[in-house]
Amino acid sequence: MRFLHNTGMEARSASFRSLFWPSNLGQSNFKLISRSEESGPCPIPGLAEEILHMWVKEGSKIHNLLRFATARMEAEDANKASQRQVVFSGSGGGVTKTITCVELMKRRIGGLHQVSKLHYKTVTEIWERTQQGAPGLSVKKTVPAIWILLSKDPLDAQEPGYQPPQTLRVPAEDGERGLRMLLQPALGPPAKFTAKKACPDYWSACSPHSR
Amino acid sequence: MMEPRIPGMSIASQSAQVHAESTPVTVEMDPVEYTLRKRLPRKLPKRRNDVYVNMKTDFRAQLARCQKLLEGGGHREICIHGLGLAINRAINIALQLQASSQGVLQLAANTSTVELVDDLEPDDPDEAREPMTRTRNNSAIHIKVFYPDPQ
Repeated sequence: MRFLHNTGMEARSASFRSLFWPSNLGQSNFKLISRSEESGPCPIPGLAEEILHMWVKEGSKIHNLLRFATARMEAEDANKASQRQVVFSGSGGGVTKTITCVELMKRRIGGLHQVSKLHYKTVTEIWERTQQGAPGLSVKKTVPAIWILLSKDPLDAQEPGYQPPQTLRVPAEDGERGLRMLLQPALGPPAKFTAKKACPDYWSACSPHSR
Repeated sequence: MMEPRIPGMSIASQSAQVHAESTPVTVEMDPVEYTLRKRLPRKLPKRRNDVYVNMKTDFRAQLARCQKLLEGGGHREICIHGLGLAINRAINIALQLQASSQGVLQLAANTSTVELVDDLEPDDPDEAREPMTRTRNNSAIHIKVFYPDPQ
């Protein structure tokens, strides 16, 4: 990466920002060297430093994420203190998975307060030409990202994006006719979570190419 | 008995066994013999300021529709809903609206789970198999895009 900086690539980068996608220029001529994500400021105010933070990526396995997070949240009988709060965050292709994790988490551990925040995340990709001597480029992309805080303790209800625990989950602005049908609890028994069984079903059934 | 005479049968019984072992689903079924049909999501409440984002309509058209509601339509707030794959697009539209308003607009996102129903129709009409339904869950997002109150 330092080597590429020295080749004067940064000077070229301005003309290729955002709009230029390397694939338009013939992706076979380029090779992705590095991909750095700028995390930016934390979008949720008043977050503790040592909070349990789950970074959900596109390829993360929901089972692994949830097993880890619930173990930390429910570790009351063990000697270590259990976490009161957890943050799930994801960007780009991981956003849907982040929300799914949160929804499953809320179902497994009842009475969680939630705050969701949306923001844009800047991803800088550095591409190198496969031909020798040709300059590479850096591409700046903005991808949508989501941060969701789940807390056992009550949160500020005035905060935009706040959701109370599931029993009272009809959003205020929707009133009686609200989205109640959207907010139905899960059919299955909430006590025992069968991630191994549920997850492949879930994702294969969602994909448009299945069957 | 040890060596099955008909090769087709042996394959069928083996594959059935493998299937039963690898996926212990509650409803025993052979995926080959059913056609999966996805029903549309349940009809949802729709006010004038509700926008349901999908992946079929052009992104710019959906963004323009939201902008029109907020600027021309005189709505102080709109609700953008996205289900499954369209979550990303819904977030993108909301963030674009916020960016084009120079940060005046505020966002409040809520998440939920939507129950979807799949129909399983038997392919072979001769066999006495009943059509089945299967429910699954998918994630959804509801983003309120609004002008904050002046006070």
